[in-house]
Amino acid sequence: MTQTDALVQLTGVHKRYGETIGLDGVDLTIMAGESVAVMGPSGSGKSTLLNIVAGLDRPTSGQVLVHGEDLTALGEGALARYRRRRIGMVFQFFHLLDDLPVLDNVMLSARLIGTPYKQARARAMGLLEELGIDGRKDSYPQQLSGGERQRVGVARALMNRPALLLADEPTGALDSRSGEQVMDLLLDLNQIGQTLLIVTHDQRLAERCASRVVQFEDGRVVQMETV
Amino acid sequence: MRTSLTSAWIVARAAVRRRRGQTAMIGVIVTLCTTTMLVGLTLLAAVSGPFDRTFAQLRGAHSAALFDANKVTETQLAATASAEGVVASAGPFPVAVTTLTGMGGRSFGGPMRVIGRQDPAGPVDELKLTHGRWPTGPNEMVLSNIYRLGPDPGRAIGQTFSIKKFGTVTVVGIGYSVTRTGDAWMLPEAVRQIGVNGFEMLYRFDDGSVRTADQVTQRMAAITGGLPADSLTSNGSYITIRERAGQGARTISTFLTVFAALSLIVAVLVIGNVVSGAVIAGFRSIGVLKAVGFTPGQVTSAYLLMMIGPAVIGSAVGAVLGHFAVSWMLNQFSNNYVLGLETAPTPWLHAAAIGVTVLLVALTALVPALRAGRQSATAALSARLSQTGRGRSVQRRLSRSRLPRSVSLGLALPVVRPARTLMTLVAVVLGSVTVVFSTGLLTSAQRWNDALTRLDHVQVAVVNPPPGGPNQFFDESHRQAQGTVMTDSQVEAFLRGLPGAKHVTTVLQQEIAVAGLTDKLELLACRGDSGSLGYQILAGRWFSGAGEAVVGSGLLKVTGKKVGDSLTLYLGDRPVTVRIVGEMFANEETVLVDQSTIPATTGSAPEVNTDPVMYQYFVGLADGVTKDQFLERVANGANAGLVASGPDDDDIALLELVIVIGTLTILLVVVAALGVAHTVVLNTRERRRDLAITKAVGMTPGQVVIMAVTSMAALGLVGGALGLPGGVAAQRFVIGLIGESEETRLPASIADVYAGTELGALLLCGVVIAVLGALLPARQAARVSTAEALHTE
Repeated sequence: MTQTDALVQLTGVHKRYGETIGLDGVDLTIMAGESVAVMGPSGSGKSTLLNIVAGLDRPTSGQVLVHGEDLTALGEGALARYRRRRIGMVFQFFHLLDDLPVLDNVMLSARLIGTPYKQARARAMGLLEELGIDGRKDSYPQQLSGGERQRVGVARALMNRPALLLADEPTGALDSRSGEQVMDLLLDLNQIGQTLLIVTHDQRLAERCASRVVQFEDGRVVQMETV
Repeated sequence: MRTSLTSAWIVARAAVRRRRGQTAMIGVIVTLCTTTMLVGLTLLAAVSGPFDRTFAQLRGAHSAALFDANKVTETQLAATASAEGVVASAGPFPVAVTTLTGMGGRSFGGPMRVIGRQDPAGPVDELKLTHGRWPTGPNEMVLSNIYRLGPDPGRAIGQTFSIKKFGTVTVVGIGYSVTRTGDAWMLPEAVRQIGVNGFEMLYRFDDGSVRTADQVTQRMAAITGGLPADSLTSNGSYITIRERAGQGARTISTFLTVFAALSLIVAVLVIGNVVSGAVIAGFRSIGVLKAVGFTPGQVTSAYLLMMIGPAVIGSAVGAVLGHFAVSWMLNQFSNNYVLGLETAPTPWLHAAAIGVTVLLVALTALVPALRAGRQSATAALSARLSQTGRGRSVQRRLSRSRLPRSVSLGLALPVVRPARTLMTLVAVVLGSVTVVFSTGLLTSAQRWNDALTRLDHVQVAVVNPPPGGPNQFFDESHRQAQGTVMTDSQVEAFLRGLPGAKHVTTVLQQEIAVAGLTDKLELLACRGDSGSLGYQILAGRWFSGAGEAVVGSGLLKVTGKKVGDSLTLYLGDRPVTVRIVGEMFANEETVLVDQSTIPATTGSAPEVNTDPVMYQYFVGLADGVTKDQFLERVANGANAGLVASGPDDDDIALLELVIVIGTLTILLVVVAALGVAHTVVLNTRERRRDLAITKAVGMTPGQVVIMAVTSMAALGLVGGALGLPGGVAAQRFVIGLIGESEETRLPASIADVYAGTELGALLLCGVVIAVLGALLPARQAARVSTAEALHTE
């Protein structure tokens, strides 16, 4: 594995919120096709790391390269385009738009980049079928179970075929059965080559889906082990 | 109780500090709404009976009498103060009729009546100095504000003029006489030096005894009964002044009332929308407050205080701004339209504007505040700010459209909060109505002005003052000094021979009477190129020979005549019957005929101009010749006392109208746009989570701006479409009322001012208001921190 295979490369990344330290000199490399789980106690910097890799937040210092693109050099518009093209995000609380039905939620990121309706619909329907929720395409998020909502979230994240899938506590708001289903889904995705960066408290999720576990504490990487 | 209020106050203060942006916005909106409200209330108060109020306040003269200095003495006149029925009197004041000559030898304002008064006060007709001071020496003068001195009349102060046989005089003040008793005032000794033509006496009678013009005449007859015959030269009755003032005030009040009503409605709507929205947006804090032990009363109080605090400050600032704005506007109008002297809002109007605004804020906040108080802690804590579930079918349809997704998402936003959307829409509609209305009104005013001034047709007017004519205006010795007197035909030939003269029309102006009418009318007997004078014909045609007349619309109305009817005119005691062949647009009750219609002048225009009448020559210039060039040619070529003048290029009254209407329109549009802005702020806050989600999946800041702006632009389009017919209807209604007030029918060019392309542009004014209002908060929405917003959720 060479450095050129690195999909994500963080070098000396610091993030401060006033006096509070979010990240304290993080160096981390994620290879294409790898599945990395980030674990650690609350406030250890896991979500900050995810937000920085997602381009939702900016580091105070350091370099963040994703797919060869330096996120610190990008403006807000370019970061939005980066999010559309390069990454997909799955959230603990799903973050679906309540006023849009499942199909429209999934299509949203594709429609934002100007994909014609028919084309976007075909792609979204394919994903919903793969995830087994195509029968709920016209339902609204509040009419779905937690597991179903998270699958919709995953479908939306995969809509633009991202190089990197970011998941923030993807099983955190789910019952154990739904959690198992989501874990299976992530595992399947990784097995077909999808790069994953998962932030989680869930040891089982990390063990099952990740090829590498990174432990965070006080904004620093304190341990890194291959599963 | 005290602890409860203290707790509520602490919470309210903290909320105000935390939401600085929202508080500032509410403050600004309340400020502008109070400004608008004060302007509206003051305009309404100003247009109700302004003349009578000012007349009473300044003890206006019921009768301003001018006596011949050669026939009566000052002592005799002073004795009339004790005549029967006279309650108060002022005078006798020496009067001189003269002309002011300014820079370059051009006369200022024509012949003027200068009154000699020691001071502006007195028992009758107190003069109000609007600018400057009263003269302290003989070479100082106060000009009447009847002269249109521009938006800043005070600039006339310090100007110097020369008066023949007197010397220079400096303007030191601008004065207002409610009964228009003079054109200018100087100290009595100065007027005597200029040369006394007469004496002015001002009388006040018992109000109840002079309700009609006849009663005023009777009173004056009683006064002059003991004076030498024919000593009374003229008598100005306050009835005439009041009618004229009333006509001007009615015209102005018609559209000011529309503006006032629009201002008040927009202010009320925007405040209602802003306050209720702001309270609803703060609902999530209720759960926390209740969880820490706040009672429903404390929660309600906290929410009320949160709104009333900024409202009190905002309305106080708004009242100050409104005071200056409306004072300035009324000052503009009082110069030209006699709206009275109360050019500043009275204290009770300030109190009313502040009180109504704060009360409105409190009442609007009360309902949601009570709801907040009743809300259970758990319900409040779990409450979602955004309303979900509304308008899903609309959203679904839009998502399938070919529109860019940011646009279709934006178009769906208004359906989520229908009540808020409706209030915002109404504000946009009223803003659009205002723009359409004021645009139309200004176009009508411009065309009205053009139709009356006929500047496109007549650019220069020349007067050949007769030696034995109206000698109160022109000094014979002055004319003789200028050179030989030219006859009428010589003047016409001279003017026609000047390069640049395209049309020359000779007009003999005479006072005539019409059977059945008490008022004297003006007859304009024309010769030459009368068809090119530029009068707009409303019906029929221009006269083509003797015995035909074109008359003003107002005259047809009062006489009940129509085109084709005969009309008998009396020139002195000589009756002349004419056939009405045309109805023209004119403010005055004027009759135009060919000069051959008048027997005495037919073919007998005197070779030596000794008639006590004055011919006027109206010249239309050829293309490429300027007014000043032609005036210079007249001055250089005429070896006689011809007085040539051209109207000012800048019409000050029209300019003032544009400024005032423009200011009112901008004020209303800004308030409506702020209403839109606040709606976007509230929508953005309520949908912060959705915004963050869409940004997380790749919506760019530009797309966020498009989405937020589109949400309001759609409203703007609907608002513009609804406002357009409203504005057109308002313009038609108001211009119709003004026409009635001026007693004239209006040509289509004045009444129907909206052309196709203009209508298309005006249709978009709602969009412009909405986009202007939405742009700034939309840009702020684009800057919402996605990570923070999602983390908070």
